[in-house]
Amino acid sequence: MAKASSPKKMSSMRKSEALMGYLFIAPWLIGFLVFVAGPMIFSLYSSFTNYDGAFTMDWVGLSNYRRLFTTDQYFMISLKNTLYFAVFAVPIGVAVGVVSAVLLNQDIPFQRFFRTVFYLPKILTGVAVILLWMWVFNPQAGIVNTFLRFIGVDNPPLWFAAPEWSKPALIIMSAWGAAGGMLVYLAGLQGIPKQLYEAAEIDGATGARQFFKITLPLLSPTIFFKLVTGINGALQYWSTALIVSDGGNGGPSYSTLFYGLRMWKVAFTESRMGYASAMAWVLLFMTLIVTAIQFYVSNKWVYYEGERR
Amino acid sequence: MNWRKFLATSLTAALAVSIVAGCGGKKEETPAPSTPTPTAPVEQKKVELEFWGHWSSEQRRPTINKIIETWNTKNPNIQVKYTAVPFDQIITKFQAGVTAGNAPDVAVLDAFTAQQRASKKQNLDLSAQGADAIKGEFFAAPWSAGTYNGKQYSLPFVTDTRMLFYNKAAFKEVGLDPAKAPVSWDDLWAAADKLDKKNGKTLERVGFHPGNDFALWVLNNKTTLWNADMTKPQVNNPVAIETLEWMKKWNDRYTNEAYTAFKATFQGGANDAFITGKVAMRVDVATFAAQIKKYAPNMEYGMVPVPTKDGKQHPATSWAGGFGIEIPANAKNPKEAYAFAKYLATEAAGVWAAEQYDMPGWQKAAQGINDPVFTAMMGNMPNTIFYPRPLAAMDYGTATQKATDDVFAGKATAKAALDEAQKAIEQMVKDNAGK
Repeated sequence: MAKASSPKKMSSMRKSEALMGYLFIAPWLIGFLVFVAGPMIFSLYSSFTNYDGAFTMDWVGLSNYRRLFTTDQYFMISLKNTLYFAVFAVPIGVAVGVVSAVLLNQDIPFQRFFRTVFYLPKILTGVAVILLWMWVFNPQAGIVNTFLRFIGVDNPPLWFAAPEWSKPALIIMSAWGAAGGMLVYLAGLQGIPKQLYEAAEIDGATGARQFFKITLPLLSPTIFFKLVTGINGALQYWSTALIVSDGGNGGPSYSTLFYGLRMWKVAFTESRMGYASAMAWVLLFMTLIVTAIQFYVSNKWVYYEGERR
Repeated sequence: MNWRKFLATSLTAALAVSIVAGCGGKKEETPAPSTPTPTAPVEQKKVELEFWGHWSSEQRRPTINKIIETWNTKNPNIQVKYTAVPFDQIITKFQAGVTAGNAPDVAVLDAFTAQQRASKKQNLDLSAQGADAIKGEFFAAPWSAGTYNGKQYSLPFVTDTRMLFYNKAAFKEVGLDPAKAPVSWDDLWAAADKLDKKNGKTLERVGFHPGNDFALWVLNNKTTLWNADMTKPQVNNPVAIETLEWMKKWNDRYTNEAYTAFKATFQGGANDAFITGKVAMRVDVATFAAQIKKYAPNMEYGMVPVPTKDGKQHPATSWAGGFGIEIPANAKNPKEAYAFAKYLATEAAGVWAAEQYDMPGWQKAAQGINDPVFTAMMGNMPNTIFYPRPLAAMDYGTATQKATDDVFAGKATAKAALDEAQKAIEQMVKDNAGK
């Protein structure tokens, strides 16, 4: 190891140290190579084939990609649905997370209790929670519509059963889960020096001004992190739609046919693994582009103490 | 080959790490030290078969254990080991196993995808094992589910048939003769006129609603959404348009808003809408009778063939689904696996049917059960069709469902919506055929 770069021979102790180092990271390294890198490379390769999940795997060149961008009738529909979801769910999620973190950062009685309660959505996940939400949004008996009727709305929305309301319902659902993300913001808030607030208070700054001039700027790296991971997650959003829509078909009227759901159907209903792999790689590149833009724009609003990145 | 195997196995992981392929256990083929009964009909070596099903519940497990124990006692040289694989993973795991060469020897899989696996050479041609000889012993509908290009790739295990359930007490309440069940679409409409109950805008009781099983009602209306060899869609044919208009008529009867809201309150078990009397007539799988027996043993109800447009029954009035028994194409012990598969499809299906109240695909098993529900189901089988999913567009239901959604919501006429679906499905067919 490092034979050419170091003039002296590596001492036997350093050698064994290096070996130990590799040995220690081996579980992760092997896991990464076998379960992440390997499948990714295979998926990249099969995106250029007509792989059907079994024995057919002929090279088709760029055909999958070409068809995805030219003739695929569901590409734009599913992409629009996904973007709609991401555009609303991510900012709302961030806002909910920041606000709940600021509230839970106050010195109030039962602070720990409230923190636990607000963190619960992160622990409660899966199909059970989705089924619960389907009852919350139940057009006839759900609490949302019962409330709406109570305040005088005559024809409350049909939520998951109406194409124009199914996505808003899913966004509200994800906002509820986002409150659980406050833990990261809470950590960020703890890192803001107290004396900044003290100085601001002496100068007579109001609470709102303190929030916008101190809290938000100093929390911006955390917000940025949650924004990047949140958008990545939103672009891959699909499994809830599988459960919520009738027959998992992304209905009503394609309104919950997300990119990920479409990909799953192509791969596992139609057995067109090659094509689905191409879809996955296109999604990866779209995510990369969005992330790159975010990093570029982040220079304008993300504040790192002392240095500009 | 190994490289290919490795790559193939890893793709599944790429798409869904949770279903990393090759999870199937290993089979061991150990020669028996000495077989005490040389007259045994099997070869001298001892074979261990791995058998996959999705039954894992407390209710299902004892029956499947009993079935396997019976076999293992009778066949010391072919020992079967059962593994329960979650329902949503079993097909993917089976396929991945076939590709990697470690699939289970026998598996019970969804009948609707059997032909797809046959077309991809994933399951074994059972005709070569002699399956055609027992064809006549099974009901025609579930048997046809496993036929591909004239060869048999799956043996029926359980099947089902849809029938009309109607609430006799509700019939009496509104002055209808409970002995006179609806036989035509007009009968349903007339009965619903009396059975419907509304409280302002809220529905309290719905007489009947055909649901959104568009493809199936088209069969009931004596036509199909695909041409005979399932290669070309014809979802906008005049009869299909008429059928969708008929469904819309029902939906409009209750208004889309009210019915959608009403439907969303449906629950399972004891709170089922038919059992609680919220729906007076409904088409459901015949074994729904078991649920009534369990939750409302005193309920007065009738169970009759699905009504048709002209009131006459025909071979596609009702529709079947079910599960079939398959063997992977690259099975190591095809002969032994087939012997077990045959036992499962016949004798064992009888045990299963009696204990689990499922309709067996094997006629003799159904005949052996002295129960009015089984008698009714048997009577309905000649009117029941198994309509496969077209290999040309397995996912065409997405497009037809959009059509029913749009039509029910009043966004498009039946013709416009089905013209759009036809175009979408034609494109799917093209995409699937494309390289």
